[in-house]
Amino acid sequence: MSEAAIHHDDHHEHHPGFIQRWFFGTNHKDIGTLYLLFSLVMFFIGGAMAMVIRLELFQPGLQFVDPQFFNSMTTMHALVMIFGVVMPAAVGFANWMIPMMIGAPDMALPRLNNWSFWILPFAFTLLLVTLFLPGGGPAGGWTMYPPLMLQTGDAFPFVIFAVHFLGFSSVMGAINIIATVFNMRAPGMTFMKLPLFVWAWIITAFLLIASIPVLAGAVTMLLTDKYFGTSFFDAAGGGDPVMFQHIFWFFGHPEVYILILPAFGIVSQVIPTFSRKPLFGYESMVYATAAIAFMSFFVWAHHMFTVGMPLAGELFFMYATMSIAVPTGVKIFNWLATMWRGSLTFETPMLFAVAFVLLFSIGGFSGLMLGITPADFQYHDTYFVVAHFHYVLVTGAVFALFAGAYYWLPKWTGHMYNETLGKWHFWLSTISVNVLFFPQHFLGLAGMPRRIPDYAVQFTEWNMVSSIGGFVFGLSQLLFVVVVIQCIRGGAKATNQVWEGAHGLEWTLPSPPPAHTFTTPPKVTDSVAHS
Amino acid sequence: MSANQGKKMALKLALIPVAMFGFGYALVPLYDVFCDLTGLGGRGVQQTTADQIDPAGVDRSRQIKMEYLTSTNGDLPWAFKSLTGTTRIHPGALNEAHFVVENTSDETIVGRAIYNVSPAEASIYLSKTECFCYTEQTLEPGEKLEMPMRFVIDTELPRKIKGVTLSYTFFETSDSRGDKAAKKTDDEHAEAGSRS
Ligand code: HEM
Ligand SMILES: [Cu+2]
Repeated sequence: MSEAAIHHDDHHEHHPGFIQRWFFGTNHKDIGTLYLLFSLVMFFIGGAMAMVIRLELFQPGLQFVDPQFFNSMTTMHALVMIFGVVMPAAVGFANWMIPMMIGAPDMALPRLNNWSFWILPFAFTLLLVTLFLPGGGPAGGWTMYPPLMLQTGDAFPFVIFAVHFLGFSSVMGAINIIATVFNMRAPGMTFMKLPLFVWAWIITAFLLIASIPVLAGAVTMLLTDKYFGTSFFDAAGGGDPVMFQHIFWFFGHPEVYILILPAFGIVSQVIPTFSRKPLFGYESMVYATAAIAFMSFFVWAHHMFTVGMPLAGELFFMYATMSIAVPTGVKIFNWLATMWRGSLTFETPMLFAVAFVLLFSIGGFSGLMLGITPADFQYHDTYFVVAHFHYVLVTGAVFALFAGAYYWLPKWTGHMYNETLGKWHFWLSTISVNVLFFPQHFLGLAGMPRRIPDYAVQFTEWNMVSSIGGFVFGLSQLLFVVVVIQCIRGGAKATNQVWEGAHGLEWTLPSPPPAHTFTTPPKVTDSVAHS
Repeated sequence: MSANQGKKMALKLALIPVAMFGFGYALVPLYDVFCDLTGLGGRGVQQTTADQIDPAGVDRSRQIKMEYLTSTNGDLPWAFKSLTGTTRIHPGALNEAHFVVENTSDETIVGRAIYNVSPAEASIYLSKTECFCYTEQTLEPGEKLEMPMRFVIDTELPRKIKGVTLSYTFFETSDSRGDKAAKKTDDEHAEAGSRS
């Protein structure tokens, strides 16, 4: 790239050097790439931790790691996957796509954008070094419940500050996205013409700025409880550890929608393209997404049905939880209706999107089972919960991220990816992920507790099956890396539109798009507006 | 349309996270109010005096099964027991329960008891005339202390409540030993680490 500065191209500026471009650059496309690559690296770090967990659980007894380390693996795996993989990947997609989708030259606050990204590696260094500290990494679970969390050794302040930094990063990113969409749309790009991915992200961004600070408050209280003598959660000093759970889940439930709404957005772009039909029920999709986000602030206590709430509270949170299934059902229905009588083709992005719809629904149903208060008394803190959130997060959020990556890779790199390898990646992942997580439903119903390195012998068979699924799933992900590297290096030339059925401003640009696009706003006609 | 407008909007938006950070802290007093109203966490229990209890107000038609739970928090080396087993009482009558706590270590330790009531709803109907809870107890090595607790349950107690459990937990409040306890967990970590 550095020689490019000597040549003349249609831009009037110098091409920045490597350091200048990747470390100090503010170009939304480059920052998007950084986010996505970071997320991919973290995916393998978090994945390695999952492999340790599945290895230890392959058979009963303690064979490979001691319990303290095992628990720090489950804790770190969750923190890495949530804050290091799913959230940054979603922000990466937003950075790349939102300006191109709304016809803007860049994000509204490019400098802030650079900061939002570069805080992340710093925060994760803080978090990951704790594994090498005396006493090991945090092992009290990603939910950080006191008093257990307060027994963390030297790692404690590192974890708290890492969470603070991650919070700063995502709040800044969210503010940037809202400011971009509200102020930088091309003329004629009205709100109701925005692609659904953009809509999903505006709503996610509002969830982020409203909920992440509550988490920051909760962990700050933990910090002062441990070091500065406050007793927010210390019963001996008049506090209440259960209050932490309320504050945490007030953040925590909106957080799960922060993880899934961008995924909904991606799937809503992919399915119409490969069905060669406009999205069914565009407006109802927007309202359903907003409704889900709004309602997510009133259901938090379904994570704590068993702490001893008054009956009225249990009932309220049960019915509120159940009612979220209504707008979620609307979305599932609309995706299916979009495919209905479409002229469907099943390229890799579409395969991942269709698998998303089916498998995410399984996670939704197990969620409904967990939302039934009396049933949750049985399921709570068992592998059933683990199965539930992995269906919504892995076959849900992560599959949608794969769909998006395959969908937009040709646009980003200018090359078609290797479709055969992509299909292999899809089929291996889809089969193994079900071998991995479906048996965990049975384990949970049979009573196997979560976050335990050892278990009773009657759980052995399904744990072995699950572990084998886990190893195959883990290995299959290497295929994705191969596909991405190949696609960056070369391959069949991608057209502007890439996919026959793709509509929207981003597909009017060359593949790959030049560094600066839409410096003069495009004309928005109905045919280029949302698909 | 411009980046300038974007900056202005971003500054306004930044107020939301600031406010929500504050809201996180505001949940703490809100939680207290909520607990006081519902009686969660034993918050509804009232203080009263023996002469405020009207002997004629005893409802002999009802019996409530009372149970007393005792526990100590963490590794506090105190033996804490209830001397009163399960009792059946009448709403409106003054009752007494006895507890005994013994310091089984060779150090002087300060502790404090925290109580809770189950079902939470019952706590609003519970009044205590005498309790050892919330006052610090200092026990010399081997010292044993008997502690009475007197209470009355209001006759308005909802009919569906047939039994009430009072639970007491002793927490250590002395700091001198706190360091030692912390040190011990460090040693445990080291031990756990060396096994791997
Ligand atoms: C129909 C929608 C859903 C319902 C009714 C639902 C319900 C529930 C319930 C009741 C629990 C608590 C289970 C327990 O601990 O006993 C739970 C846990 C969880 N759910 Fe969902 N859920 C839904 C969708 C989602 C989605 C979309 C995500 C994320 C993308 C998600 C992520 C999680 C996670 C991570 C946990 C476990 C948290 C933990 O304890 O570590 N759920 N869900
Ligand atoms: Cu939830």
